[in-house]
Amino acid sequence: MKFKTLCRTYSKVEKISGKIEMVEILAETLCNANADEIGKIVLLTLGKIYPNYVGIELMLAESMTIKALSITTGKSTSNIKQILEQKGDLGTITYKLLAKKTQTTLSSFTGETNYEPEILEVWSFFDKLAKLTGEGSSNKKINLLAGMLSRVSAIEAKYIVRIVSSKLRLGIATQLLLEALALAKTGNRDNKDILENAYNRCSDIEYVAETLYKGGIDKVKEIDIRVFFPVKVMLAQRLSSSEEILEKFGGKCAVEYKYDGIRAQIHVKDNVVKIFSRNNENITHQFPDVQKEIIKAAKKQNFIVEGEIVAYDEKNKRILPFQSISKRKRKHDIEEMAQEIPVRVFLFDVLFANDSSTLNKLYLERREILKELINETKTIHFSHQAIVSSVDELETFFNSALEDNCEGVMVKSINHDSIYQAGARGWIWVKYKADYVDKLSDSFDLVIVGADYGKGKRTGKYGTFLLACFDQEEGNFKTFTRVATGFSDKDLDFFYQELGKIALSKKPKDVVSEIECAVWFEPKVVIEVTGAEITISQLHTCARGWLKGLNDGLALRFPRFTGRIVEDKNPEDATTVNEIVTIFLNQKGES
Amino acid sequence: MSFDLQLDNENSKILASNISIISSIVSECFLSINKDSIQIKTFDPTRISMFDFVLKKEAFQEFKVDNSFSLGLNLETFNNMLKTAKKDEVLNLNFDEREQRLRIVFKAKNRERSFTLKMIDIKDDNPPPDKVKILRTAQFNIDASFFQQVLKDSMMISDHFKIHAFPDKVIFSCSSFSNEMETVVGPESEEIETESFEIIEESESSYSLEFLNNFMKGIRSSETLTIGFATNKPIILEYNLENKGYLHYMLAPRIESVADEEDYEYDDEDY
Repeated sequence: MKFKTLCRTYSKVEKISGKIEMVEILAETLCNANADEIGKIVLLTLGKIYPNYVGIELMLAESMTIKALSITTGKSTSNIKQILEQKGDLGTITYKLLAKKTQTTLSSFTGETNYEPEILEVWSFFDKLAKLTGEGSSNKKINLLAGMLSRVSAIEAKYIVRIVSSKLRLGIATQLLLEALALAKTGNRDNKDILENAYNRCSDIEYVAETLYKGGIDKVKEIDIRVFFPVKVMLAQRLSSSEEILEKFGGKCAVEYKYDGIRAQIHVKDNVVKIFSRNNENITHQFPDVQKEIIKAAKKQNFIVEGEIVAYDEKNKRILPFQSISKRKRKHDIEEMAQEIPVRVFLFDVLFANDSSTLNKLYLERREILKELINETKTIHFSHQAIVSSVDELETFFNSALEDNCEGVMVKSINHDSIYQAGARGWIWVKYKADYVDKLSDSFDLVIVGADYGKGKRTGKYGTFLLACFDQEEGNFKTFTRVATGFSDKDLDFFYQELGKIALSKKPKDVVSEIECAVWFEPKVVIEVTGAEITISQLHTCARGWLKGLNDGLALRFPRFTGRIVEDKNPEDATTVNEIVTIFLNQKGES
Repeated sequence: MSFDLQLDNENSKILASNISIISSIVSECFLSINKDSIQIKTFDPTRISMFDFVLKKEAFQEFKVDNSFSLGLNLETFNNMLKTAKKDEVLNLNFDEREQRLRIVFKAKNRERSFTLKMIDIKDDNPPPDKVKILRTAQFNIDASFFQQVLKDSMMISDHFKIHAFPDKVIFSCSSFSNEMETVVGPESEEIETESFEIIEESESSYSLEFLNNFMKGIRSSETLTIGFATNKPIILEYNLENKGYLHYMLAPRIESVADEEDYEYDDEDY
């Protein structure tokens, strides 16, 4: 398929916001793709060149893209920067400049016919661009991009520029794309569930799409987890009292410490270790110490286990809070940092062992398998765990978790339903955190989507921030609250600087808001916020239309920034509308 | 595959100045060697312009080549090395296939300096054609210094200019929103070689100043150039190195409104 065909589809999709129609338009194009190109098509459509686990991102600096555009169009870089300040989006500017381009190419006079690259050609170009490194690579990248831009048409150039700057932003979420794939290849949207299951197990949409196109839906069903390919993590619901929890689990359940660290999926095969974050990013290089220790602790090979990596104070024998372990997230001086901030790993689950998936084994059996795989060492431990059947037992365990510097506990089903549901947030796992106990201070992880400038001491910075939660059903962001308290001067400076880089001139398409803001942001930065209570709101769009007999939405009253920027979460991992509705209903039940 | 070349001081400067001109627009390219000459033929990265450079064996004191082949060169680095030449030095260029390195040796009495330059792997999926035909309906030889002045004047006003050739004169002009520039020159002027002036038909075309200026910056102002072009066709600037070879530069025209109307349907965001 020609890349141009795909670009025209993108252009159409951008103009509509109805999910059903978006799926249809996308499916219409996808059904013409062949098995060799479909994998690359789905990656590009999500604005990616490789699946997350590969760990290579193509993100050209804006200045480099501008330089390339300048070479291609004959316009000066200062001129292009000027237009960019007015119009905001580099992709649109590229289109405008090239559509009106007066400069011809010499190659068009020496016999080269119109260049309309195939999708695979364009992907190879991105691949080459991403892999250029070392001395002088900046110039090479600029020249390579300029060469491509001067050969293709305006519409192709527009999307090439957006993809190289990691700003495709079509508003197509993974879920929507899976549905379009199902419709395109099987004629039935409902097969999306099969694709989603497969995707949750292999975290590789490219592989799912290729399998679907090569082997059909039956082959997709066979997709299973593989060592070195991250699995979507299982998520938990939340509850805020021991009574509720015991009731939910039928009077008996397992409890584990909920450590305040980095959730890690550790893959081991032939003494090679790969570690993935909860977002399936490859974080292996950050933890050379964990790599060594897990090999020492392993009784067998070829497995996937899951645990929490926490910073540890060797002197006082205490787990340190998240702020300490977050310092290990870095590119340089990794070995020094590993010395300075030693870690402990607390393993709590196993996903693959003895050459097969353990996802469908029940929780207690998985814990047994985990013990057969691993010997506890100084660094590697099993998570603190107990089986409880009374409020007293649960509270005692909960309190000891807090004393040991944990956030709270994870409560897990020990029933026949207790399989590992990759990528799902069900009631098989429930988190019970200290901050839930005070019923007026639930904490939320919300995405900053907009801001207004401050007054007085905050003049010239952002004073109020518009926060949104994630709507899983629609794959977009709904506003939930506006927060202005809890920010130190340092925080405000930091947000002004960092958010400035992702500022937009108009509201992004995937944010649903009826509140106007002076500045909008690409949904990217997630912060932790507490509040007094959730109330019904006419202003905010969160959960609008969800409550029976009510057209209003939900909002958080008296929000306060806790000072924590939640770096290990993608915007899509923010607190969801679903969760907020649950908290709201619980809150209502109590009062 | 190997070669062994030697240039006296004067000719090494000719090589250096030509490489310098090309490297101001192209950072890496192939250098081809055959039994008669060395040659660089390359598009710039945007394929808007192209160089054709030939230095014949007549320019060399020694010219030993065992085969025809091409080397991928980092032109910027090569240029920086050549620029270090001193007045009393002769230049030797050796290449040995086994090492995949070009040795650049400057020799003077009782002194020898050398550089080695590693070859690079260049992939060009669409190399320039062997023969490029440039249609010329207008052609004349012009003083480099005069043409450089025209470019300088034009750049004060715009980023491109127009050449309009009539049977009795040539007009260079450009305009911006508020300002204009015009230079008229006839075949009898001192700046144009009268006998070279050949206008087959009235011709008119626009070109980017930045590309032309980058090329002209490296040409000595005392030189003479041949300019040839046709309406809405590429322009060619020919810089002849007497019997030793030549440097040709070809640049595509700017043509108003080549917009792809078809795509506007799909993308008519207005702002």
